[in-house]
Amino acid sequence: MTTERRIDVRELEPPEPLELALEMVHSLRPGEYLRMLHRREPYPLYRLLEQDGFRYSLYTGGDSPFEILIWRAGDSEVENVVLRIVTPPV
Amino acid sequence: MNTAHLSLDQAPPYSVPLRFFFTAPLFGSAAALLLLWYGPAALSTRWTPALLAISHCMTLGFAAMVMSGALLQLLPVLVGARVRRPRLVSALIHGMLTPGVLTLVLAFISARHELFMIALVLLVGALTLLATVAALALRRSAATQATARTLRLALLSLSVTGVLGAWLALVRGAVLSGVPGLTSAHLSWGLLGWIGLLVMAVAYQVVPMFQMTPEYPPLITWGLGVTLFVLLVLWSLAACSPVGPAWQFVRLVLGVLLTFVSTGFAVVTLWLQQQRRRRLPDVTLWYWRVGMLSLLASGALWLAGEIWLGLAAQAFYPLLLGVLMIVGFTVAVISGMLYKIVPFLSWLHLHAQLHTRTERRTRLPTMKDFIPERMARRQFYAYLLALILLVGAVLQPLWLTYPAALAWLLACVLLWLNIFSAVRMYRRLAKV
Repeated sequence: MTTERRIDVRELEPPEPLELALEMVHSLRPGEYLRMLHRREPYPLYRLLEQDGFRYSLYTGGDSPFEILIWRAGDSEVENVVLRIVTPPV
Repeated sequence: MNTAHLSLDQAPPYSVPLRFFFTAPLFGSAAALLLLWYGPAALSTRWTPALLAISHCMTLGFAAMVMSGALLQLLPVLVGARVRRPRLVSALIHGMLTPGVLTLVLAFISARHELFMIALVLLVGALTLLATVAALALRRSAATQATARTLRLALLSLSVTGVLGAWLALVRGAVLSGVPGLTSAHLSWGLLGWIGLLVMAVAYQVVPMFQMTPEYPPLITWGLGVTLFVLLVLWSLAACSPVGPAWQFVRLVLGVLLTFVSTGFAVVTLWLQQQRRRRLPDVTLWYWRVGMLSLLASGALWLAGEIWLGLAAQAFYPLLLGVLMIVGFTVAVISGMLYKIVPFLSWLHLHAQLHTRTERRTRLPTMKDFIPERMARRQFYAYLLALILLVGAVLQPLWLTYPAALAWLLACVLLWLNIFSAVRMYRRLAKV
């Protein structure tokens, strides 16, 4: 069972999106992923996520200009679900 | 799809960008000290050796210094472009730029040919390396957005400015002869091309990001930079053309269009800032407003000089344009950016040093703690006072040169102390 957690940082001023996202990903439990709604691509966050053992994927087909999906590296069940979201079947 | 593959090992250590930011206010202070030393006589015409030394302290020692550090650091953040071997590249650029500016300043003051030649080698080396690594990084990034495109044009303008500056140095070194309009072209490519386009490129990203404004209209982000660049090319060609009423008219039309483009950017930025979603007081916002208003003022002054030739013939006219463009626009925008970049880098590097969550909870401050708002505000007031006094000093050198130089010195020293306080906090909290 995969659960989505969601934060919308579109109205937040930097560095709050970065600080908030890091706080939330560290509380992800197995089977959970985070969907982050953003106004832009958070390059600095990517670096920190990699360093802390997370994986991420960018989705640009939603309502928000950028949606970043983040999960713990090694959580293959979540990874399959997320990859289906970002690459919909043709 | 992972669009960025940035590894933290690739990020230069904290000290690499900070050395640029540490050095810049020192050159600003040096400019103030030169003005104190030479006094009102320095402001008698735009050609005094002291004023040329002062203006290059500001444009190269302050502006290009910060921009080099910021460009190498911000390319990964803004457009996901990675600079290879950042540690070595930054050390080389800083290692050539700093003695290069010092030698150039000494060359202007002493008028010694060989010093111009040494400065030429060092500065061409530093700026060529900067333009090359930045261009390569941009090429590697998949980014095709307006920021990356405008950055490329800014780098091209930097190269043109450098070539024209090198030519001028060779004229001073009695190696080459000059052509009419060479200095004006060097000035225009430096201030409007390199600095103007770089500020535009950065603004498209950071104004909406940090000031919570709507995005720039696509027409602006796609069209403005290219238009400015093309106009600069045409204007330079016209400036080198033979004297005659027809060419003079072409030059005037191109100049007016250039003014419209640059002031148009200022107007749009001020308009966006009016619509920001959060209305908290913020030193960066104030700095950017002063910068945009100065850009507008210098555009208006330039137009006034074109219409009323008596004004343009005054000795203070080019100096006032210089103060507005360099201190009013360039320094303001750069200082405003420093108040975002320095805390961000301090926070980011500290975050990387602290590994466990408990450590981060207890030892990681928020970004806003690195430079207290109160200190930033105090520095901004000193800057504002200095700007007003410098404008006054150009008009009334005898009375206001010394107060202006002192206020300017204070603003630079306070800026340096504010950067230092962020570094001190980082050092205190980082693992040894």
